[in-house]
Amino acid sequence: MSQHLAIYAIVTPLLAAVLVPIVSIWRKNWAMPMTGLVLTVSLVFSTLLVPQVRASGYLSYHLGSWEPPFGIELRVDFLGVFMMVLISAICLIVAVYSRKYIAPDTAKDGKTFFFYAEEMQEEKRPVYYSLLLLICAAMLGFVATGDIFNMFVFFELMAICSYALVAIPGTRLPIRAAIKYMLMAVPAAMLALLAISLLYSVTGSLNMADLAGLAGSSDYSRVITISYVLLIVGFAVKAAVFPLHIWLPDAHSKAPSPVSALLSGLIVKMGIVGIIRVTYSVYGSHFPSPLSWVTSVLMWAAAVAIIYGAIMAIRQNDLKLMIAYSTIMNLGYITLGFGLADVTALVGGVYQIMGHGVAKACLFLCAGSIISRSGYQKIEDLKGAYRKMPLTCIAFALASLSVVGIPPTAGFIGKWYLVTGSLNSGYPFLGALVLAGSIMAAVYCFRVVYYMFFLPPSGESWQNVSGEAPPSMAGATLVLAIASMALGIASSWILPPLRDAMGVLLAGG
Amino acid sequence: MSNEIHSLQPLIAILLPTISLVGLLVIPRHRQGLKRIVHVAGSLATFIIVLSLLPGILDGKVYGMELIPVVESLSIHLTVDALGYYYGLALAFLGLLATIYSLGYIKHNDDRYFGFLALCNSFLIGCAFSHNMFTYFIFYELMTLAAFPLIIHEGTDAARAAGIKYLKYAIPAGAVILFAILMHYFWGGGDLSIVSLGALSPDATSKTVLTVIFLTYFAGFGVKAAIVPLEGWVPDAHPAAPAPASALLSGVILKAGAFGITRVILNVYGLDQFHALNLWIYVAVFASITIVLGSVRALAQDNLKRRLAYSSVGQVSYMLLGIALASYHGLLGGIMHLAHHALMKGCLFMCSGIILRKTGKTNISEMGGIGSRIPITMICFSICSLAMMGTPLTVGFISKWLLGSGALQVDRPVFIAVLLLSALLSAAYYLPIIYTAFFKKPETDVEQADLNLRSEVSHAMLWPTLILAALVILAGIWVTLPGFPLSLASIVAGRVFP
Repeated sequence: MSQHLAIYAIVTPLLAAVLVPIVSIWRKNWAMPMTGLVLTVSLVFSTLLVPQVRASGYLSYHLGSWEPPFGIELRVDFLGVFMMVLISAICLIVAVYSRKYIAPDTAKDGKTFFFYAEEMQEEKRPVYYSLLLLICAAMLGFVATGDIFNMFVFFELMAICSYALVAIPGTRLPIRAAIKYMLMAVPAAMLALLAISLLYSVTGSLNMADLAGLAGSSDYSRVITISYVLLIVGFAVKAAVFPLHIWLPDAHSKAPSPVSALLSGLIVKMGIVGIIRVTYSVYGSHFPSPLSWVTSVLMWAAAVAIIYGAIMAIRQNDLKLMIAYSTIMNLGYITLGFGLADVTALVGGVYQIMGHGVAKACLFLCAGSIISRSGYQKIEDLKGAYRKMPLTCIAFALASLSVVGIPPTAGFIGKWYLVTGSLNSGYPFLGALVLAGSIMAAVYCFRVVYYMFFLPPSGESWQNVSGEAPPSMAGATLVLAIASMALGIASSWILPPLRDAMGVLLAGG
Repeated sequence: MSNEIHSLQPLIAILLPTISLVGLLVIPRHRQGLKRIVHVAGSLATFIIVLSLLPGILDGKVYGMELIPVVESLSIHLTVDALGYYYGLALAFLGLLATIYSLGYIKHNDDRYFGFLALCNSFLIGCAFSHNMFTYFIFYELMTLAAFPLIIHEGTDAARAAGIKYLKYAIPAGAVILFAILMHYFWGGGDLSIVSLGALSPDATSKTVLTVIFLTYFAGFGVKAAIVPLEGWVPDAHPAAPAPASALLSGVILKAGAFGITRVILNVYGLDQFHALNLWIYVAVFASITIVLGSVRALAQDNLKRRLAYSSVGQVSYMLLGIALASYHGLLGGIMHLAHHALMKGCLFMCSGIILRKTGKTNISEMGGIGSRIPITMICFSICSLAMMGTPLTVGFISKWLLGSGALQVDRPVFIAVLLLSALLSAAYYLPIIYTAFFKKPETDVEQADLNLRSEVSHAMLWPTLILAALVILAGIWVTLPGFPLSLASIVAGRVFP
């Protein structure tokens, strides 16, 4: 049993994704409980993997007992298991939140939800849960696999699910956003596929550990370089690295809020995890030269992204758009952690993946609660929201603290490591930039918090709002908000193994 | 620290004010009386637990406990040494009086107010009892945010504007401090201790870097400590906030910045290195400019709380000037002035609150004759005003005397000129208030008639004011009483000048 945990964690949601729509033909109400149960199982399996991975450094599992490099290998290192726990936990919370969000019932006083009541017709609900399970399985597979083609397959599966999830309301704006997203992401995927086939053509292998050796000794160094750049570009589109981010604001703000939470919290991070993975596990032997110019390019792109994302977020008047631009900024932080090519900075970047993932998912879910309860999407309409929706507003405020990086939140720990890392690698200027970014984050986050808590509602607004979101929605946001605080305080349990793992990765493991 | 005695008391002192929060959540809305008892009980218990550490501290003991490691080598670590204890005692005391005073003063939305007041107290004590810069910064940032709802409590447009201005200053300042801490962490080899002499020395890095780190700290903490030109938020925030919150702001929150700078000078760099690197010049020059400019600008204010706020701008820099002089008396005077100013300014702001509640007046020019309407309050006000000028037999005299003698000890009489000029200016802006209150006639006959209604405010507001005024005199006469500023400040100064 214990040696099969990794594959069970991935296959369970994959199978359930097929089962949920079938079962729903007869039992409409079973979709959500099934999804929740399956995701809990995934979470438990991923968590059980942690001690195993910590004991042995990494876990290698051969699918169907075919030995690598011929068979497919799952290779779960600490980064992988870290991401698996994060993915299954956030997916579970999003699923719980979705129950009332996509199937609102009438409140006690007879008032229904404003938004999504019509768009999310009943027959779409099983499909929604099925896609949720599928995308979870794809992400779990993506971070766990040790085979580069397998990685690509999961990557595409994830991408296709996310187009569908963005477009699921079926109205004009989400569909347009999904198409825009596709127009960027499909060519990017093709680039990645081209890169993998180039790599295969010169090395004859697809197993990453195997490739690392072969690519290092290959005579076709130019092909290797080209394949690397293509792969990075392919992943960078997904990771919305500046200037390849233009699909992100629309897709993240027009999608249903739980989907936005998934996209911003997890899916964009997969691009960065992909970049880290291929850079160090496949092309590791080519560093620090001759490929290190790529990381420098990413570093400067990240620096621009931080400023650009922050300025754009400050300029927004639409709540979800603001949160989406904030994601671009935070992806800048994470990319910076990678681009500095320093262990400490990389630890900061990866910690930020988690800290930002949790906090941003929370912000989008809060936005979803507010929009579905009140119909207000503009920031200026949020004045006085605290009086009607106290729990949601408190969750929003706590998550904001993490986004800004106020101690002791997870965002603070990430920034601490990023700045230390930039001092380490001799770029104090970038460290100052990270902190300047957090001042700007304070501007856009605290503006919303200030409106919610300290201003009275303007005119008639909020008069007709019936009150707090249902317990499952408010609870989901609060759990994420508390987690973003707890992950800052509990960082000492996560950081040492993470630092070890990053050290091994940077050394070409 | 090796000789640190493991003790839970510091942690309990930080957690106790939050009893108030539990009270807010548990006690139903209509039991306002019970809630108020809980608020006072929380801050009283904090004060008592802090006070219980006094005998040990006077014996030169150091208490502490390490809570949880956060960033690998760094941990949230509480330590009570003499300097931290001194600040902690001052703020626990002022926090208690401000809470009692607030019972009478705050008229609306008190749940939010008392909740954040308790949080502010709790985080401030955390600042005072921090072992390292990391812990200090955590509490400092949280305190910065927790003070915001207090400033905008009145809910007027002016209060909101003042609150926003406060954040505009405080949040970038937080980022600047964080950058300084990270540079300190990086070049100091991961040692962020602020209770024992740290690793930041010329052996570790170049003098330029040391200077840059110090100036970054100075600029970051300078915003809270109201150093010119970073003082812009102070004169807006004080008049906007409710009187007890202003008392806390001036009395202890401004000092959190000055305390941070003190810690950096005394415990991170050490006075010797601080002098060797010529860093004292920056502090002394900026402090002197602030002292003079604060007093000059106070002259021009007609709004009472604004005038008091500008006076605070100048007074906090007394502390920094004394420490920058790096003489035994200067250090002693500077440190003692922290508590002395908290007593005087706390009392003055509380008086301003009573004036507002009883007469509705905020401008000095309209206060003609109020001395006969609220005599006790105005006597307290006069005592503290005289103390601010440095009249003998008050605490103000003690600290100014020590500061002046400190300047002489290092043979820099120019700073005595600064002190004298400032004393003169304070006389010029405090005496007219006393004169107006007692000797001028009100502008209208209606108000003249009001004067016969001699009545003081509720006990909750009057007693804290009286206690502070009494202490201003008591601590000025019976200087050596254990627990009074001198006893603690001399331990601190004794460590620096053995």
